[in-house]
Amino acid sequence: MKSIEIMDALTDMDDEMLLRAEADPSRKRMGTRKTVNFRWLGRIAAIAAVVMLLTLTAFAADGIINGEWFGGYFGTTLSDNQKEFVENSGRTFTESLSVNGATITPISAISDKDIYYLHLRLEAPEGVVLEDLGDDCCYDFQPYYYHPDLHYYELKRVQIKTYWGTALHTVSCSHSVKTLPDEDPADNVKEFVLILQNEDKDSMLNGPGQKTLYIPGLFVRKIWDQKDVETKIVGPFKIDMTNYVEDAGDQKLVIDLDDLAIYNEKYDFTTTVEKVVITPFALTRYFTATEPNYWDISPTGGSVRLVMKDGKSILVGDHGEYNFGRDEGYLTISEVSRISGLKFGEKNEHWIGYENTSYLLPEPIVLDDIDYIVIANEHTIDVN
Amino acid sequence: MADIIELLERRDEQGLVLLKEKYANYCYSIIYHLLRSHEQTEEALSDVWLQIWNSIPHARPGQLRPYLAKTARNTALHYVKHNTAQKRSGIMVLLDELEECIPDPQWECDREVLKELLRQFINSLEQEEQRIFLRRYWYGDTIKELAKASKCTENRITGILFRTRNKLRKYLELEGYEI
Repeated sequence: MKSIEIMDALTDMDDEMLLRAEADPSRKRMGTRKTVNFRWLGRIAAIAAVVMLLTLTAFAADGIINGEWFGGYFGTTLSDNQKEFVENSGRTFTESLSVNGATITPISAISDKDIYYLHLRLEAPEGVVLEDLGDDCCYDFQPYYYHPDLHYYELKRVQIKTYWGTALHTVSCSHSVKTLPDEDPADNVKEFVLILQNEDKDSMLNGPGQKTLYIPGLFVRKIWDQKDVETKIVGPFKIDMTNYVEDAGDQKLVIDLDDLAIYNEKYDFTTTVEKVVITPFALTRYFTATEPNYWDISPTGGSVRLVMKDGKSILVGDHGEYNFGRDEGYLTISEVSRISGLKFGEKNEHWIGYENTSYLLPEPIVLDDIDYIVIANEHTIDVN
Repeated sequence: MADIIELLERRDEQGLVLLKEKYANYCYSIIYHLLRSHEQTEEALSDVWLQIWNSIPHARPGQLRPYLAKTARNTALHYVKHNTAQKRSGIMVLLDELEECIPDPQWECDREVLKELLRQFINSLEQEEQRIFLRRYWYGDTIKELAKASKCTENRITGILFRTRNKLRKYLELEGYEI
């Protein structure tokens, strides 16, 4: 007998045995830690760094808000409270990473528990132009390949990985890439904002524990059918994206609307809004609705306007009856079922659907600074 | 989880997409720990997806995660057996260690019998021994990884594995297969 036969026979061990072996013996200990020294985490990450990992550093001396911060993505008219929040919720980076002739430079990041914004600059290999794209194409950090044999799209994903003990865990997330304005679209440099949305209930994007971001590269794809058009940069790039915000807390404001009913006369349906949940970066409406009298109309729950104590007003989710389409502020958290508890009746009978739609806010919000909200331009609810 | 299996049973490709979204890294880790080659791991992973696509719906796994893990492991071992140019990677070290457990190099054993003997043996181990033995010889964890996860020294892990291998050897001897 050879030892490979023992290895072979080991494969068919009991499922329960394997699952027990996968349970991390050290997770309880990690969970009981009240605080983690961020700088110590950084030293551990540096020592354990593989060749392609960037060095983790604590907050850089310059701060995040420095001139046109985040490439102007969030605008510049922030209140003092917002500026303080941003500086406390993020980090800067100090090093670039070069792979296959291309260089990626993370500049700064801000995040809450579920949303992570990363401002970065990509420099393609010499001779590769990162031009401005037309309306039917966009830049993305992951490729899509059509597999002819199995007739599906295979892709290498933008991923966040962290360790639970020795087990490498992928933090389930979705992402979107926003291309920033480019003063010279004929060169090989472009800046982007990468938005990561946490879909993993057991993870916090601003929590302790080193997190590594994997970016497969830079690709041009068709917006609507997701097929690749061109590969600009081949990675992968691995970025230490850890952004531990000590004492961040839950950072969530739940506004109970007591089943506020909103009737749409044109399409004869009623939206019943249960609550609105606001985090520093996103707003989610929880509602049910009856069936509109036109098949192509989907209830959205009505717009929500945030009015701050200093008078600033932010409107989100103003799509009228439609809940599909590609607006800048639209992103659905896929961890929450888009439609659950759905009851289909016969045609022309009423049905009640339950949808949760989340919107990214156009700028970070300090929850304590919200004065009141207005639902569907009609209903005012005091908050603070 | 049930949704993915149902989609695969209906030959819906979305099931494969979801499967890969959820388990690609898990399977990759299992294979890579045995092959220690990213290139081979990528190839093996593609084989895993094809096997899963072909095997479900005939085999409806009770628990998807261990089923995937076993498929991934089997695929990795297949690569080891058929790759005569296999470098001294992680699995070769494991095979060398397991050589100590073999009662008799001339001994041949039915695979099903051996499987049952190993299952009984591993079940008889204390919890920590069981976990470390499986993490080492099933999942291919290195000594360093095991020490880190167990929050102990590498020497302690080495000692536990040494004693467990000796126990396995004695167990097989008691079952009638003497050196």
